[in-house]
Amino acid sequence: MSTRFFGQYLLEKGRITSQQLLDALECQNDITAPIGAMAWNKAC
Amino acid sequence: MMTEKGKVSVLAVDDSKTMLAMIAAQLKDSNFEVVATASSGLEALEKYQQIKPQLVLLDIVMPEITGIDTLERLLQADTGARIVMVSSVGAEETVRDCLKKGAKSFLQKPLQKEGMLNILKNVCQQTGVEL
Repeated sequence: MSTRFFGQYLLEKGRITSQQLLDALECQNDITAPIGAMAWNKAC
Repeated sequence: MMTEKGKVSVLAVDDSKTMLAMIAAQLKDSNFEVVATASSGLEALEKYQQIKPQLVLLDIVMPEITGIDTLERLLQADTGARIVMVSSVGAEETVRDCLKKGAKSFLQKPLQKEGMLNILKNVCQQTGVEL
């Protein structure tokens, strides 16, 4: 049994378009800081 | 190219004959029809030029040239090609990469009939293909 990430699930359910999924993935990529950067910020 | 029955024509590309048969079976009794199959990226490029299908279902992991390379080559040949990538690797990074390179959508294996039909219908609606 494979797992689908939530965006893929919504796409296959017809709830979102592929452009909406791409926009969300791009947005997620922009706002998620690398773990090293978050650790550095905590340390400072 | 629309089929004689007024269905949307599909070129299915996968190196697994079982998968090609499964796709054709799942699209039976729908608005879509697999009019040709290819088992490699190079064969897909040839068949696409011959048939000009309305949709392409394109597997990513294949010998010779990968599905991603095939996607780029198909879009170089026809910027209007409607290509839906298919893979068992459904990682967000892979999906984003395919969509950014011009794929119209993404399907994850194992294929589920309802999901596949939803995605194909969605692509048709977004790109002006009448169903």
